[in-house]
Amino acid sequence: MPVREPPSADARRAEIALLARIRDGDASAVSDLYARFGGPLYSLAYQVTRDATAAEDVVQEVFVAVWRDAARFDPTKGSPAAWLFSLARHKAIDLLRRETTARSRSVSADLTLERADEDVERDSWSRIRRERVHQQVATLPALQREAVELAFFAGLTHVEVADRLGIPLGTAKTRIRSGLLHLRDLIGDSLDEKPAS
Amino acid sequence: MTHEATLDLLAGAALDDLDDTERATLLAHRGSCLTCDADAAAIDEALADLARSVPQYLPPAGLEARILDAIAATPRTQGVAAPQAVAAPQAVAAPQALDDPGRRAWLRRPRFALATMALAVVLAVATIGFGLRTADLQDRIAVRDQALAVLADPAHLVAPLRNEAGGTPSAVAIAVYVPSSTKSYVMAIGLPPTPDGHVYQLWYADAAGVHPLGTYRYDGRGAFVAPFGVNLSGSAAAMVTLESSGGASGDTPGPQVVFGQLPGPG
Repeated sequence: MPVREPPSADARRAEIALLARIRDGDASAVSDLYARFGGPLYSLAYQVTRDATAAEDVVQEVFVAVWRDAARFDPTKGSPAAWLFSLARHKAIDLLRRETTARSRSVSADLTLERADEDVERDSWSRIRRERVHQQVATLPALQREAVELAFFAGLTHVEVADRLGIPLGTAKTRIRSGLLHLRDLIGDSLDEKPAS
Repeated sequence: MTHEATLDLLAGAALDDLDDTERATLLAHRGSCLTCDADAAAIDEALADLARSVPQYLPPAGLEARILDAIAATPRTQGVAAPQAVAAPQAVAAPQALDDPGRRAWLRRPRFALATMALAVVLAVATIGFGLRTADLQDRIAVRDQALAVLADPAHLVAPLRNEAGGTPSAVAIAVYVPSSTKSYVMAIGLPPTPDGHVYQLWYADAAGVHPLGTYRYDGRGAFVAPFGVNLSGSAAAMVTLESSGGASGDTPGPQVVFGQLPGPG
């Protein structure tokens, strides 16, 4: 099966153009943006909150925030994807901290959630990219990986990570930040390579 | 501080988990660093890839329609947020905020932390003018010098300002002022340039309500420094918003850029 080109400057330009249309008040661009990011943002929100209803709320808040504040996006400071995922993660963590009971829910608590079939994913490159990120995360030292996952996906503060792992705050900060920088280097190198057709 | 040493802080900032001293140290460095923006963007991209790596689920079928309904009910003007959608500063401007435990904890913060922040801000603001050849350079330098004079006053207070909605995670901002005087300024880095037809507007909130102040265009270069120009003693909060050119004149701020509670005297 042929593999599409990786999300490149063209895709990024298209996403920036969508945000420009939204900034100019074009509501139809919200649907186009949702088609690109609705699923991934929902999946991230669910990963953090472990609650399908909460994940819906997060995604809605993200898109409403984008509609209101698209003018705030600065393409010289990063990609639309980075901005959108950052918004989603912050809102999911805010919600999680407001509703601490969600934290105790198990990963498999919501059995009604429908797993995305690979066939319906937008393109093969997304799947390959995700697999590569998984591979690179797996290469992180275990202590760094554990700390990054707690900080990023569980939404714990550095203080909470230190408490959870029973380590000094300084050690927790070092593990999280070193892990993140390590990941930046690993992912950056890996994803620059184009998959074979 | 070297750029390499700052990478650690950039990673912490990307996770929105810096303490005030770290935030101020990063502020000081980024005001003069040409490579921080690129590294911050690289870290954000890594986080985005991490976000994409989670198991993928299909959103409920009705979610898109629900979002479009919500958007249809969200008025806006030329891309600017509906005023009612902004976090209401009145909620923290009420007098009882003075008795808030979190606020008392803020007041108990060790003085060395404030001193560190002040020193860091001096370093950041002092870089204004480097590399700039704009017509308003003289004005910006004059404001910078006035802000530096506030920081040199031993009575000055510092308060961190943040974007509570997470919309500008790269922004690092503080309010600095001398109580019982009109020497009061906001300083920030990492703010996006003001879009065409828009300005940043300063606000403060007290028991009487929310009060609009001056408006400023910003080209995104160097630190953003602007005067509140009012006595902030007794004020509960300060804020920067994005407004259409001309600014807001009532008590309905536009979208929040950064916001923070003020420590008050003592």
